[in-house]
Amino acid sequence: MSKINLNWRHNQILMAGLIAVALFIGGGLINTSFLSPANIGSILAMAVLLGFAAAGQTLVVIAGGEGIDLSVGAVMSLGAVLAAQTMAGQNSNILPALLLVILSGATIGLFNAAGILYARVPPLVMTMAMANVVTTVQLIYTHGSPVGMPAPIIAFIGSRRLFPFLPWLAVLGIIVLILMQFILRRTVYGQQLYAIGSNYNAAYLAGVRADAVKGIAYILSGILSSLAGFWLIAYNNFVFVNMGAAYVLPSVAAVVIGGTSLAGGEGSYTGTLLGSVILTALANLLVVLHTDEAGRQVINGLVLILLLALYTRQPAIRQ
Amino acid sequence: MIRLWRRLRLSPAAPGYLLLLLGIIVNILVQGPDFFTSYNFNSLLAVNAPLVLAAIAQTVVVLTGGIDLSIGSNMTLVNTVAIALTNQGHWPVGLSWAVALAAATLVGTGNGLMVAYLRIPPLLATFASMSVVGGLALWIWPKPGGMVPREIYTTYGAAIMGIPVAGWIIIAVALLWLLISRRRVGIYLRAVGGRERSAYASGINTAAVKFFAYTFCGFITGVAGLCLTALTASGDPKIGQMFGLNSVAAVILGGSSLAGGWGSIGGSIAGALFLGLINNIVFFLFRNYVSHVQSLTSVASFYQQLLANLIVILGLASAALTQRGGALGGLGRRRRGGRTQHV
Repeated sequence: MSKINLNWRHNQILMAGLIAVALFIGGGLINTSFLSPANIGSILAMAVLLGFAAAGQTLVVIAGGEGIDLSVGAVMSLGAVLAAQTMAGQNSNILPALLLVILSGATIGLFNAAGILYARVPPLVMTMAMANVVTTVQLIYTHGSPVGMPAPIIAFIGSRRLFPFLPWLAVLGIIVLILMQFILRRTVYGQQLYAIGSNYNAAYLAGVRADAVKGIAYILSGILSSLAGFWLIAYNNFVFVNMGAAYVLPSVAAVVIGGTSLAGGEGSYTGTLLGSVILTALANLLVVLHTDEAGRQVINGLVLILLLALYTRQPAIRQ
Repeated sequence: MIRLWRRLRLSPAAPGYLLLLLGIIVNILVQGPDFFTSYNFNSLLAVNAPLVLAAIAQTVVVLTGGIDLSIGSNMTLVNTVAIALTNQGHWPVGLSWAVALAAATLVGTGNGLMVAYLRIPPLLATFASMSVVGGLALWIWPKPGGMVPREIYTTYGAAIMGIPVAGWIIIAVALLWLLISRRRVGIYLRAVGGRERSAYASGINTAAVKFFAYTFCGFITGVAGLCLTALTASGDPKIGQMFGLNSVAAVILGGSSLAGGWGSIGGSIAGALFLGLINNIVFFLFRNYVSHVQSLTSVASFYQQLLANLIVILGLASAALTQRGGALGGLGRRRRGGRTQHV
């Protein structure tokens, strides 16, 4: 029995995968339209968007030190607004829009990093305060009514499908997955990120420039979230204020369900993507079942508690 | 006098008090002598009492090294239950408000069960319960509306013996906390937050202590929600949204450490009042110095928000920099026993 327990603990990706499969089978049994290719395609597309939003979050959480980025949603919203306005429906404007989006995300990430590393504000509070600032900046910039459209090519990738069950966004998601896993597993930076996450002092003593590695994680998080905003308008094909606000806490949940410990030092982007699929499939299932907003929130929360109780439990203090 | 100053300077809450003092001075400068009217004091306290109480509730949990993100939606639940029972169920006001308070305490109990006995990390556990509780509130009272008997909100805004009723409520809750923190439980709370393993090894039932902290936090959140209901005199399923994270900000401004173990209620109260004062300051700044710029008026409120948010960041940075232990270098950072066990 203890061996099974051990395997569960150490194979959270497998667990997340099993839960995702169980969810799809259960959903299909309850309502067959849940498993239609069209519905699976839309689940995948939305899961990939959440996965983009949670990419930076994964890096920040792995870096440890109670790391978390609550500015993900606000940065996404700003990225979406900037992208829509700059592209203005023209293919020729894609490159400037991308540059602007990346630059704005990096700037916000830099401020987060500065606040956390130099002013020593706890990440939770720093990024939350930063989110408020970014949201008001977005409101001032757009006067509350943003304009613009994604370029046709971007809109095509964002909303069309290769096969009914495979949106182009999912293809993009696989590319991002390979890139993220490459950064985490095959680069020096990735190894240093795990090192500072599991033991900051040991990593520092071993010669890792721990503060720089952590700071870069927040900057990368800003860039990735901003890019998530870019793809959010590509998927929706129109823009409104605070588009990304709904992604903040799900991004944290996706990371945790995917087996990345909030204590830092372990985790993977594969897990985060699976977590995104689980959360999105659950939300979609509740929509298919015609649950109202209140019911969706309650059931979402209860299932989350169940998942958390299943496998984010901390070991008993006696051990 | 010198001794008092020294004690104050060494207390973790010092940055909170200094920030509040600074806020008051700046507020007097921009608002002028009107600041000293009793009406102004009354309304300042009445408006900010919900956040002050939420900050007290948050402090209790933070002391044990935890966090409660569900405070905001729990306050919403209190608001909607109290309003729905009186307006829809036609229950007597006293009874429905008591039920609302009990509901909030129950939510706290649920959080306590998840954190202390199921051992789910507090951030995630309370995030999940935030969703459940918010959904319940939305189900109970889906649209803004409803009303509160006139006597209640006039009493809430009034003053007894020169002190506003909201002030009395804060004093009562703070006294209740003082009473508890001087007893054994108070020491246990700090011990668990300081180093859970050592607390456990010295025979403290750490799970029970944490359970108590979340339950008590739920109760105070209930009082905060009732104050919010008396203040707004109506029900709204989105009313508490900002309180969860703002209460955390107030706790940090008050000099408490999110790592647990030490912190002060006085500091958190000061932090919450500072947050409230900022809005006041920014409002008067814009009214006195900016409003003549015509083109600004349409987006002036956005600029007000931006300025207020920037001041909050500055406050957070200064509070964190002056925190005991907070300014140590990379090597001085202590990792908490409970969380590093995850191998």
